[in-house]
Amino acid sequence: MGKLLEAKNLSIALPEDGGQVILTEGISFDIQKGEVYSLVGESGCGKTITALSLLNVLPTANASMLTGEVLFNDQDLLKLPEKDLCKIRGKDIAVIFQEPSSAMNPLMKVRAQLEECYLLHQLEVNHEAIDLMLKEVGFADPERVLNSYPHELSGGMLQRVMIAMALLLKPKLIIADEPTTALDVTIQAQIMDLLDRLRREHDVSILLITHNLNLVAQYSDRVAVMYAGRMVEEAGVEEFFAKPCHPYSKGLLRALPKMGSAVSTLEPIQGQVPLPKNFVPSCRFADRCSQVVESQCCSAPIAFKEVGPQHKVACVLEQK
Amino acid sequence: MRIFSDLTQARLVRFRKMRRAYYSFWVLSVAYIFSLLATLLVNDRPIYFSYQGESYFPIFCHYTEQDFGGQYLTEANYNNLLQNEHFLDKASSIISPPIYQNPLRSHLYLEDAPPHAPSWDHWLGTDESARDVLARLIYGFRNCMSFSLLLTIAIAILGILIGGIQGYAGGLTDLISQRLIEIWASLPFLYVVIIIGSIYERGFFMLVAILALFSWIGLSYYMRAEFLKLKNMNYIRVARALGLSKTRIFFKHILPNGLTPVVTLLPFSLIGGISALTSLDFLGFGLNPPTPSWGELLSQGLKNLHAPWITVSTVCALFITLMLAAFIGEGVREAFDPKGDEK
Amino acid sequence: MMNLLEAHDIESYFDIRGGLFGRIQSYVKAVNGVSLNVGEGEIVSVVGESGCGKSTLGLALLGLQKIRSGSLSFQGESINVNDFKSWQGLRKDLQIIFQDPYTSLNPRLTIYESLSEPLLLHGICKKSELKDKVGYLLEQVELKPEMMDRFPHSFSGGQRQRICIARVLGIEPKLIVCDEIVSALDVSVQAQILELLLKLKESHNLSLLFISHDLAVVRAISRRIYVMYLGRVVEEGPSEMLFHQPKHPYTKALLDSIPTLDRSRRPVLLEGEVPSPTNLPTGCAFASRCKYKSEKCGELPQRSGLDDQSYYCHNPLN
Repeated sequence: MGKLLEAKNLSIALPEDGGQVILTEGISFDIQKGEVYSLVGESGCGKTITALSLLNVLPTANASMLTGEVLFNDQDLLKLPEKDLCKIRGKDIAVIFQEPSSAMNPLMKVRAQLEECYLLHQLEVNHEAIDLMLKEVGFADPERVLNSYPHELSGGMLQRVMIAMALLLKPKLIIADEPTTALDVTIQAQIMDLLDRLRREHDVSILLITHNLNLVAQYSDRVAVMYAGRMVEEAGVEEFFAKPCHPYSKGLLRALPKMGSAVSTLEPIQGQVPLPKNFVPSCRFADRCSQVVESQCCSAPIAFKEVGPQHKVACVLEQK
Repeated sequence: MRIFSDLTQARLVRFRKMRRAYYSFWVLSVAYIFSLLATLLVNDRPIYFSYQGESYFPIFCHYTEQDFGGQYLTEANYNNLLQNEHFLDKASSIISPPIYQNPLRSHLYLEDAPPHAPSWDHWLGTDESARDVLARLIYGFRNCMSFSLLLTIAIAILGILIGGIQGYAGGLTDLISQRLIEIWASLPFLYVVIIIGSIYERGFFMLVAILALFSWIGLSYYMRAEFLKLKNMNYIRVARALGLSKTRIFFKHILPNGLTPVVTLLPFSLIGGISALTSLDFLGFGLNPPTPSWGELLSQGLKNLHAPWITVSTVCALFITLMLAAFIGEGVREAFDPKGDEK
Repeated sequence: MMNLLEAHDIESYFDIRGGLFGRIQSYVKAVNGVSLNVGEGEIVSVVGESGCGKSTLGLALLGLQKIRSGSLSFQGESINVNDFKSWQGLRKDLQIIFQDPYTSLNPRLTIYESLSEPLLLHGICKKSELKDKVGYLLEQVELKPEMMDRFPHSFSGGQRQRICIARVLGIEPKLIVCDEIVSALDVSVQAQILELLLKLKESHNLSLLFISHDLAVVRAISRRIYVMYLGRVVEEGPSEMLFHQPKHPYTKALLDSIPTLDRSRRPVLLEGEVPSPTNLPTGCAFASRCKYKSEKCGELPQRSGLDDQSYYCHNPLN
């Protein structure tokens, strides 16, 4: 296995009223070939915006300030001119969004939207490949799907079409932003199973962005936890669930309702996630943390250091 | 307690930041207030004078010639009085309006045939009946602004109520009223105005009423859509579950949230009102003569192409007014754009 | 334990209209004959996937959705389901909280205005005491009373959901229907809200009807569960038994498709097409996806099983 993509020190800020609001800072990670790498965190922690910044397609691209490096095939995607970036987007790196119904053009038939993938990259439309890919994502009758408009398909079907679309040009990396959040559990199982199978058969890497730790446990190889714009822990999945280090990771796992246990075993993390404008330079979890050591946690930024093989944590308690 | 919610406050601030719209709003408002005071500012009677130690307010009260030593019981002619030395001897502290003109008085003593070209006495000349064009423009502005504002309010009330009830009730009520509205919308409005105008007198309020009856439909479509959307919001469901009455839900919970399209449409409805009245007057189906009106001035200008001061001044006035209103409308639309609310 | 709410054979359809005069052409049978009861002080859950009719059922139980047929009784007294007045009388006792906290509060009213409205309407307290009462309610849901003059947009999702709970709590209802109230929230906030709800349930002697698609959440909060599939209840029973020994193949499939932290237990896929809700099969609606399908499944299964765990299936699992 080798590195497919490497993000170094990614920071995103939005200018506001003279100053700037920092959304994420110092995000570094790498994705190996054929690996599923998960970014986990609660809403507002910056996981989606980090993923979008990899392709330089931030929603408010004109206003945001993006620094750092994203190395893909030895080139820095953030410095690449728009024209060259377009060649990579969709072809080498594909994105699957959370809301399949709003990610497709409602006025175009599925066929036209799939064919567009080829046309955008000046390739010849390969109808056989389209049929094959639709079969692969579980449609018994591709012809019927191709002749439908998006509104004629259910959410699960649309999500599968989106996946087929993403895979059509055989990308090396798929960014899956909450791919199953809008879907039912039975459909979720189908979609995740499909992604898992495709990754094994086609050797693609997947960047899975989710808030669902159960999905991470089931389908991912490595996981990074984000909190308030920073990475607080990164580890291999088995290590992470066996031995979570950061108090926030532990809290998340405890807050998770578990199937096996009965009433009132929930242990919520008290307090609120801070808003970006209230981000402090020191540990941002300190005010919710039960093990806080005022002198160390609330003064200086906490380093993101290795505490074991492939296991990094940003917490003073673990780094001694 | 606050008068406006945060949302409205933010929108007002945004409107203020839009310089062009904000200043247009002030210019138009000040002009309208000035025109409402036109009785005091543009008139051909003194506002006040004292005569033999007693106070007189000729603009507001009726005095006969006998009051000032004349012979007849007819209304005093102040133009003659002010040139009468006997009168001036006994009168003191005469306050006259800054523009000493009356939109209805014909200056028949002027040389040549009317219309007269601009001069020191008549800055924008006179029309074909020798009446002062400036005075008529100012009073015409007052008429058409008042007319459009009233019309706009009437449209807003009708549109909100009918559209709102349709959207809120939904179902069969909505379906039937929608068909009725379609029939109503296809009535030829101009003919109705002509027919009604020939049966009854075409008064100011009659015209407002007729125009309002035909112009609320567009707004009601917006309101209907807005109410259909809002009534399925959770907070409306919650209000129902809490047991609030239907009227309270309608006025307190849905209406304030559904007013955005009304507010953004109002300046444009104002423009529509001004244009409609001007066109009707131009065609001769509007306000009864000799009411000062821009449309009537325009039609005079067309008949007297050798007197360009009539057309030019009226067109300029109309252009500036409509432009200011359009700027306001643009600003309001920007300020109330829901895209700006996200942040 | 006395039954607080009893619903028998509730049907609620959505009309599909078309043509010039909007005639009813067909129906979506959202709730197709559901019976359920909630005991005093009990937390009962209804689970199912989207489109199974659980939310419509919740609305119907409050008279917010037209009930086509069926009977309802509250505290032993039957409700005239088609009479607006009869519902108005129940408003104080029967309340609902919705999924999306962002649309559940009128954006133009301050928190104080939103919370005081129902208090005044139901005559819970005098005008002079309103401020104190609203402050007290906010404290009950662990928010600061000073927040009452702010507008909803300055609150996070979790805080808004707390405000919604406070609003309902104010009129001291006996039963609250919670329609997916935590599904829009993050895991850590989700646990906070559930914990709060359990605490309030004890201190205010509430009964809860909890509607959710998330089996793990349902498991954490309730003792008795109804599983719905395409408008019908397919299985009901104590959560212990339902989770460990599901009788209906759908319940089993639902449980098996949930991912867990345990990597040795992979989610199991459920194959087959879901029938269209406008054109449901006459027999068991789950038959097209069922592994244990037999010829009998063309007929509608009757209720069977013991008193506390019952199911609607011809070929129940052991």
